[in-house]
Formats: sequence, structure tokens, C-alpha cells
Amino acid sequence: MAFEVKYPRLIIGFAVALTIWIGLEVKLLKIQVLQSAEYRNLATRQQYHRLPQYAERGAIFDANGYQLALNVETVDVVMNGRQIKDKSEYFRKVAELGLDAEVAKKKFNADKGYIVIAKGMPPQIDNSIKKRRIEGLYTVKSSKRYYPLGYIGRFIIGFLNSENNGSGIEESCNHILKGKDGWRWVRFNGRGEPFSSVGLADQLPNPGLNIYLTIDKDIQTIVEDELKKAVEDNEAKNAFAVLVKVKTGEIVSLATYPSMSLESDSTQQNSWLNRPIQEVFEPGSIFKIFLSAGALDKGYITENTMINCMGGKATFAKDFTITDSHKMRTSPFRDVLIYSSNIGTIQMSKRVPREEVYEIYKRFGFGQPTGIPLSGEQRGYLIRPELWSGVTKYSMAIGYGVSVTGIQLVMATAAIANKGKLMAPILVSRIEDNNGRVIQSFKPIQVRQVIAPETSRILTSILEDVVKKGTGKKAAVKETQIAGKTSTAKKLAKNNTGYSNKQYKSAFIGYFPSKYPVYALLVVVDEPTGHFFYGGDVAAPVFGRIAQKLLSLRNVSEVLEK
Amino acid sequence: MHKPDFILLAVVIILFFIGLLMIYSASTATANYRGLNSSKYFTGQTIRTIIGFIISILIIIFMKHKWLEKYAGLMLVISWFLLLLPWSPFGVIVNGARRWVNIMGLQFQPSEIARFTLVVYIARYLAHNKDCVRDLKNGLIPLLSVVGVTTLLILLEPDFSFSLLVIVITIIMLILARIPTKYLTTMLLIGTLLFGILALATPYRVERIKAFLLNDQASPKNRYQTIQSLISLGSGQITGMGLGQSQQKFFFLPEPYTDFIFAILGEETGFVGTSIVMILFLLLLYRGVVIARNSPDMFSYYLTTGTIGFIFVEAMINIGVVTGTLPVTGLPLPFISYGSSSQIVNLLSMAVIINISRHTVKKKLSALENNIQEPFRNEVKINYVPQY
Repeated sequence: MAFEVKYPRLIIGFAVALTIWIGLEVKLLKIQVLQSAEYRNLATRQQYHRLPQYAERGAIFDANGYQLALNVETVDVVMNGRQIKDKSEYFRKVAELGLDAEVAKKKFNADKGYIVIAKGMPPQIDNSIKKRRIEGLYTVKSSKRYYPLGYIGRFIIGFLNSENNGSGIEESCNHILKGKDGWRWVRFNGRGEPFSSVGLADQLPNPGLNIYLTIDKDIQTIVEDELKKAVEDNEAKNAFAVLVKVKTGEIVSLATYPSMSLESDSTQQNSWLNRPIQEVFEPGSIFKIFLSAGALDKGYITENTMINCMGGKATFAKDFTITDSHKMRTSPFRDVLIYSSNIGTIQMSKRVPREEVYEIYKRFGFGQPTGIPLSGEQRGYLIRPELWSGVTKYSMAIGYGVSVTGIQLVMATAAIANKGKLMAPILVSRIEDNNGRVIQSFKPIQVRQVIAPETSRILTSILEDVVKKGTGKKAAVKETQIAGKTSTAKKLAKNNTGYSNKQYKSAFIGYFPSKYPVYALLVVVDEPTGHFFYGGDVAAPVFGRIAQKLLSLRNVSEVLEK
Repeated sequence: MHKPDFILLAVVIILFFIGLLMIYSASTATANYRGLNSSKYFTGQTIRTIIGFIISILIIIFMKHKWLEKYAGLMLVISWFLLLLPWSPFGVIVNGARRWVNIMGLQFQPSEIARFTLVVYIARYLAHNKDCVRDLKNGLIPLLSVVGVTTLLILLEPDFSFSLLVIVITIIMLILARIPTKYLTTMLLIGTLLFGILALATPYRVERIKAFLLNDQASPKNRYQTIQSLISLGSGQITGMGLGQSQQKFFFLPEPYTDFIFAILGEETGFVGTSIVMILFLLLLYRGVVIARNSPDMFSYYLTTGTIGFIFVEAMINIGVVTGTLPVTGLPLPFISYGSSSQIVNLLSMAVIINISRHTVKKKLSALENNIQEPFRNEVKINYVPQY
């Protein structure tokens, strides 16, 4: 056959093979040259992953450098779904480690190599995993926030949960504490295990900055212990206290009892209330000192101006009848304050024009936030004079019809102690980086001169007498002279029928030593239901005990001796 | 007798050399993972290659291919016996398949031996029975029965793709023996039907074929091997990532040092490297054709075409799988993939071909063509006359 002579089968076979060969070579050209960028991209995407590198959170220190919040090393347990062969065996081993096997079962995915099944575990678990040779289970370093003092100071320190909700310094200063997270490019193998760093295009994390508070943990502990005792002794609902240094406005202690639960449990919203700054209330008699200070300062009265206290009962308007528990006739103004006469204070307020009254309160800082660096600070409510009714001025003079926060009261009282200078509260004294370099420090800020130093001196002498012979006798301690004022504020009844005769807020505010004031302290006990309810009986002794213990601390007594 | 085909010898040596290099790179990760010495696979393969080459040199120098012709039948029967061994206590079951035999520490794959002895037997049969392909009753059916028994034994292991390869080579040899078109068509039809049924009867093969045909629509799990193989090849680009630099060998690519070693080669040496290996295989085929064309007798002719054809087809199927051109099969890349039996058998069968190349007779092409069998009948007699 001619055909076969020309093209023998061996040659045809070779030609066919050559065709197949060329086809494959073209295919290789297509894959390795024409589409290679696409494949290399796919390769990079499956071989390299950017792992987050979490910045270490800054620590929180007290005034003396004691750690209030720090990080402890923990591990996260990670499951590699691709490596798990026998699921039931695997989950049994997981359960043996004390981990929640149900969670692991729920999260299981055979295609994923990185599934976190437990967070914040103690690092020792890593050894147990290695000892048991569990394939597909490993740990990744992480850290957990730890608060050495437990519930002490929890309201100041606060917390931050994974959704960035929280309270206290942890939340308000989160931007300082959190630092900046970075990342690391890591090569993974096909089993989903990281096996080497690339070292290129990595972004190192910037650790967070450390915060130094003005809080003293020893004093904070004393104050919280005393509040606990006060609540228990008086069968009260709660209590809070604020202690500041009068010259600088540094907050030494900010305490609430009952304290916030240690678990950042969002179901207990109510217990999150940081009362000294977040709770507003009618201050009652304590508030008398501010109008008095203003009236003395502006010369509307002197300490010896005779005031008609009308024998303990007076009606100033329809439905506005006032009684005094300590009945007085016409007395010098000093005694009005010393014995906390409501009628006398109202009589005194008549001498001050309403715009002036409003101005005095405003200059003491009421109705405005103090600017303490904690979120949720309330501003209270100071009614503008245009909106006042006939009795507003009178009720405000004795601390009703106005709402304030504890921190406002303390700062205003500290202004009286501090020769009339109102200071802004300082809670954070300085911010440092990891190497101890000070990034920012906070110096005392004088807001304004509220009253003249001379007025301050007169008022102090009156407030000293409150403790010596007036309503605040139980605050007196032998170590030092205290100047202060009591308050027993009726709370609004729950059923909207006006003020209750059973529910009180008993308070004591003051400063010491009265000759050269260093500390100003407010103690408020809510709804005492024991034997006593007067501020002088409930809050004043707490004040006294705190002052006493405070003075026994060595570093405090050294300060006072200077 | 004259000098052997040094080009073919060089091609084989270079391919083995590339193979060892790639096995070293591709197997370390797996060896480490299995807790073995990282060069375990490489060392084993190197020792076997060296032993294989020593035996090969002896074959090239001293062997007379007449011996093979004489004992072809016996060797095939022994092979059948060996193919039954996996069912005996000597059998080693790997992944449910009985492909391995272990006799006193010596592990081997009987199917690799059988495919060589079968080619030898077919070569002898075709050379000795002129026009057997035209004689259905006395020629073709006895031959196909022998092939059928061998294939069936391999199929039972089960090794589907390998038995398919054996059939393909048989058909190629029959075509070269000028099998009439009607018989060829019938054979192809029956063969396709049988293997088609067999393929569809096993779920995992259906999945593989579906994955191949449906391409992107198939589930990623079935396409995984092919995708990883393409990623390896593609990321090698033109010049590759450098020797030992493959990333895919770290458990992305399955079987990186056996069935998918070509993908690792592509990743590390790029298009340049894969093309060199492709050219080497083409050169192998070309030299095989030249030797066959000038072969001293019909047995040599069929033996050369069958052996070289087998290696070339196996290589092309392997590369076809790696490039995603064919559905996934379990065939290794000759000379390069890790594997003891296939490698030894490939090496020794190449030694036989190179031995034959020492006896080639220069002929005009037309002398071969006109009557493909007549001239050789004569030349058998002058076979042992020295040419130079």
C-alpha cells in the first residue's frame, strides 16, 4: 500500500506522540508563564497569613507605684480541624483537659486550621496538651487583665470587655492603655500550622502606656472598709465617699460600697454605678455652706448678723412649712450654721438677690461636670433663676430643689478649705511609657477663686464649731481638728407624694486639719434604717474614723508635719 | 556489535539525577513529619539507583537479548505467580490496595515486573508469529488472553490506571504490528466499554472524573489535588523559586515526591526546568524510535517500541494529571518519582534497550516499510555478524 510506504506506523506513532507532547508543553507554557501571576497569588494567599500581634495593655498604678491593674500571661487553646481524625476521641481528650468539649464540638470545622476554643487559660495547660500528644490541639500566647486588689478600687479602675464596653479608667483611658496592635506575616504549611516568620512587612505592636493615678491604695482600702462597716452598722442601702487633697485637687480615694462585682457581668448594670460621680442627689444641709460662703464673701451678712430663726417652725409660702430639729430663736449667723437651722438659712437667703444666689452656686461648680477623667460623670441640675418659683431660692438654700454629685460637693468644699481656690479634680497624675519615660504629667489646675481667703477663714472657724459643739460632734477626733458640716436629706418618696419621712441620705462633708487643710472628705450613707438616721450620727463617725486611720498612716502624717 | 546509544544513556542518567534532586527537596518535609531522618527517602532512592546502575552496566555489556526472547514465556508465568503473592501472607496492604509484597525485607510491586515481562512476551509473540494479528483464532485471541490474564491480576489489586496503561501499550504494539482496522476498532470498543463500566462502578473514580469534567463546579475537595498542583506549577513561573524553595511541598500538595513530583519540579525550576524534563522525554522517545527502526530483529523492534512507549506514555499521563489535563490517576513519573520497583524496572528495561542499541543495523527507511516483517526474518540470521 502506497500510504504505508510513505508513512510507516512507527513514524505515525512518533508524530502522534509529538503532538501530545506539544500539547502538554503548551499547557505548561500557559500555566507557568501566561497565568503564572494568578497562581503565584493563590500560592501566597494560602501560604502566608497575617497574624495579629496584640499590643500589651498599659498597667494602672496608684500614687505610690503599686500596680492596680496588670497583665498576666495566659494561653488561648486552638483547635486545628484539619488534623483531627477521630472526632469522638479528640473531644474526649479535650474534656479530659478540663476544657469545654461542647464548645469545641460546636466550633468544629474540618476545613479550618485555627479555631480558638478556650481563652485566657493558665499557661500550664500547654504542657498537659504536649504530654497527651493530642494532634490538632495547641496553644497560642495571650494575656489576661489581673487586678491584685480585687474589689478594692474597682469603680475607679473599672474594666473593659471584648466589645469595648466597660467602666472606670480602663474604659475612659482605653485609648492610652490599649497601645497599637501590629501584625506579623507568618508562613503556614498545608496542615494549617504556622512554621516560620517572614520578617518582612511586619508591624510591631506599640505597647500601651502606663497610667499613674492619684489614688492611694492603702487609703482607698481604709475608706472602702469604713463604708462597708457603715452600711452594715446602719443597715443602709449603700454608701460612698470621696477624699481629695485640697491644694491640688488630687483624688486620693473614690469609693462606693457595695463595690462592683468582679465579673464584668452586663446583667448587673445597676451595680456599675460609680456613685460619687454618676449619682445625683439633693444634698440637704451640706449645701447651706455654699450660699453662706457666698453671702459672707459678698458682705450680705457677717458671721455675727442676727438671724430670726422663728422658734423652729415657719411657713414661707403655701405648702412650704419648714421645721428645725434644733429649735432656735433669733441667733447670730454662726449658730444658724453650727446647729443647721433650716429656717435661719432661709432667712439669710432672703438677703441675697436671686441672680447672686445662682451665681454663687455656679462659681462653686454646681450644675457643671468637674471634668474628672471617668466617663458617665453627671453634671447635676441647677435651675436657672428665670425658671425659679417663689420658693426655689429657699429650698435650694437648704439643699433641696437642686441636684449635685458627690465629686462636685467635695471640690466645692475643698475650695473653701483651699483659701477660696476651686481646683479641677485630678485622677491621673502622669502617663509613662514602658521605659519609665513620662509622656504627660498633670499639674493642678485652678479653676477660679470662688471666695476671698478671709471668707474661707471665717467659714472654717464656723465649720470647726459644727464639729466642736454642733451637729457634727461625732466626727471629732483627738488627733486633729476637723471642720465640717452634716446633712440629713429627705429622699423623694417613691410614690410621688413628696418627701419621705423614712428615707434619708445622711452625709458629712469636711476637711482637716482645719488650720492648714490637706484633705477634704465627703461621706454619704444612703437610707440608714438602723437606730440612727441623722448625718451627725451616721456619716460623721465614719468621717472621723477615716480621718483617724488616715492620720495614722506614716506617709500621711509626714505630709501633715511639713 | 558497536557502541551503545550514548545519547539515550545520557538522557536516562540526567533524568535519574533530576529525580534524585527533586526527591531530596520534596520528601524532607514529609520525612520530618513522620519522624524520619529528613534524607531518608533520598538515601534509599540513591542506593537503589546506584545498585540499579551497576546491574544496568552488566546488562548493557554482557546481556544477549536473545535470552529474554527465549525465556519470555517463563518470565511471564513467574510474573503471574508474583502477582498472586499480595494475596498471600507476604502481601502488604497500603490504603486498601494489595500492590506490595514483602519477602524478607525486600519490598516490591509485582505489577511493575509484570508489565515488563508482558511487553517482552508480546514482543516475542509478535516477532515469532507472522501475521498473527490477522488471524483471530490462532493469533490474536491467544495473545489477548495472555494480556487479559495479566491485566486482570493487576486490576484485582486493584490498580486501575496501571492496568489501563498496560492495555494502552498492548494496543500500541498491536498497531505497530499492523493489526487490521476492524479488529482494532472492535478491541477499542470492547476495551472502552469494559473500563468505562469499571470506572463508573467505583465511587471515588466517578468523583475524580466528575471533578475533572466539571472543573470549577466540582467541590473543592475533589479538585484539591489538581488545584494545588497547578498552584505549584504556576508559582514556579519561568525560572522557578530555586532548588529546595518549594512551599507547596509543606503539605499543600499531596504526594509531593511521588505522583506530583513534577509539580514540585515546576515550582522550584519553573518553565525552564519542566521544559528540560519534557525535552528529555521527547529525546528518549526519539532515540527509542531510531533504535527500533534500526533494530536487528523483530523481537528487538517490538521490545524497544513497547518499553520506550510504556515509559513515554506513563510520563505523559503523569504530566497530564499534574497540569490538570487528565483526571487524577496514581501513575508515577518514570525515573523521577520516588518508588523502588518502578524505578528499578525502568532502569533495567532501559539497560536492555541500550544493549539492543549496540546491535542496531543502519537501514534505509523504505527497507523497513514495504514488508515490515520479511526483511527481519532474514536479518535474524545475520544478527551476530559483527558490523564493524
